[in-house]
Amino acid sequence: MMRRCIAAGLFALAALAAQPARAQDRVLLQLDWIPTGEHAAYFSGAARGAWREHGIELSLTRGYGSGDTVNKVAAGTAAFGVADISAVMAARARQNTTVRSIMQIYTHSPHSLFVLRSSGITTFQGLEGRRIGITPGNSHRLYFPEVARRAGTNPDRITWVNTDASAMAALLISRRLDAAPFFAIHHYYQNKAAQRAGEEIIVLPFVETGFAIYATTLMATDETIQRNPDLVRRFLRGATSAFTWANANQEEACRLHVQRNREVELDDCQGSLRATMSYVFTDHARQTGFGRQDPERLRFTWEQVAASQQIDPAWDYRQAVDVSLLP
Amino acid sequence: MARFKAGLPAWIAVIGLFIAWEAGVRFFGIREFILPTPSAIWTATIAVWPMVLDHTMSTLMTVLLGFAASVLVSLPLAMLIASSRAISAAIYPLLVVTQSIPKVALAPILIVALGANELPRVIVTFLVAFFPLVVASVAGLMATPPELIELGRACRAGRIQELLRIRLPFAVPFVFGGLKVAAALSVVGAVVAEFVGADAGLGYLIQTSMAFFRTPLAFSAVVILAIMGIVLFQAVSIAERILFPWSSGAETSAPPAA
Repeated sequence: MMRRCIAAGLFALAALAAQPARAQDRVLLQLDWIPTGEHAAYFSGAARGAWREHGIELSLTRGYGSGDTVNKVAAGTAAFGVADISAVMAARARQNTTVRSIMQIYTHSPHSLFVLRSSGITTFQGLEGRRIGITPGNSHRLYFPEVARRAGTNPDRITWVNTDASAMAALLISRRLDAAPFFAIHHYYQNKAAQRAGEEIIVLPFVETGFAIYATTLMATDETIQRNPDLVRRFLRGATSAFTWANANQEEACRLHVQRNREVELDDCQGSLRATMSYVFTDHARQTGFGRQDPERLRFTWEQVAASQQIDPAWDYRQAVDVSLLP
Repeated sequence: MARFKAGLPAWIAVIGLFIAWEAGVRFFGIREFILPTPSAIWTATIAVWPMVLDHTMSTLMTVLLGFAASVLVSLPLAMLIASSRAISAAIYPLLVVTQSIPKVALAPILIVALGANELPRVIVTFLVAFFPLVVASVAGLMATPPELIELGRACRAGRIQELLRIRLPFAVPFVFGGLKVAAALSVVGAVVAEFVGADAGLGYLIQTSMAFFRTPLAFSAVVILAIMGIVLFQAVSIAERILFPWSSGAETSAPPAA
């Protein structure tokens, strides 16, 4: 394991070092978080050789949040990353980190609040006077004022409780919190745990208030894109075929995923993957073309990122995106 | 038999703890995601034992490498500090600086700088474990009775001889005291490192298990870590008993004449 990691890191660096396309490029892809069913398309794709047929030997490693993935890709630890577009935009706008989104994966964000059915909360208005858990720097908190405005909720009447991410769901289920911020993708297995405790989790997705922003993307550095466009092109071809196949063969994709990630249960993986694909293969994606962005939604995404993170909205956000190498 | 009798209270305490735990959770109806029973932890572990074993071996590797690194660095460092007041004055503040920086804050920076591999994990483990070993070893080297040093000098022992034949034997009980603390801290260090940079290991298992609501499995990792700490601590004690039998019972027997 250790040797493989070192080798993958070294080869990823080598791939960055401006070499012309080779027969088999060894490339490291850093995920945005621990591998859940959300990432089954990458693991099943790698296991089936989706990238190998494009001359890429792909290794995968876990992430520690999008911000961290952006930093590691920028530092050359990994050649490609899975990160939220807001992290890519913010890093570039704030620190001129030379990274770009090269493929849009989620056409809208899975940001949502989880509440217990027994709490009687069914809408965002019902949250007034309640306690919502949050982790420091969590984007749910940053986007919430806009969501509250759209839903007609008074955000000042909500108490935010700072807590640890791993304790969040347990606090919700044990009713010490009234709502907790989660990506809707993780509803399936968390609800399973809630049901074991005699509760049921319902989801209040931000997108239902019309808050449709782009989310997870694949990203790389300017250097990789400029010096090795062929590698990026082949990587994206592999990613497209991995996602297409995983969408059509979800059970098989999850089988391959849990073979590699034994911490994930097959059933949980399928629940997550099903939800994930509803963010990837959407009507919106069919209109823009898979992996591409709609200029209007991209502009709205930047407006929200800039407003929520106090960045100059006049900054040209388009420099944080380059989808020209998509197949 | 005598040793078995001596260890009996420890076993009774541990077994009693698990029984009280099991009974308490059942009696008060504490839900599994808050505190699972030892039997649930056992069942969850046995069901996926090959995976748990892989994670355990991965952590053990980091712990042993980090521990070895702290021994290899700390002992020469302690000798250097003990050998001269100037060096001691120069190095000690730096050592305290390394201890004041929270390792949880340092680990992500190391991983960005050194890449996501074993090296940053070993360095974090080392950073957590080495300090008590250095402090204990220096204390040991300085604790030699001045009369013995003077006697050595009267017999024209050089500095090296003084260090190896007078100071070091005197420092052995202190060094082993430091080693025991370092062994236990290595386990802590490895898990801190795994929380911020690993695809395997018990720290990683705790994180994924909590994320997937497999709380018994997370507790299983915690119990295994505790056992690992105890085993390493005992291993150091046994090594001390075998290598320096006079040291382990320091209160009853004095070190051999230098």
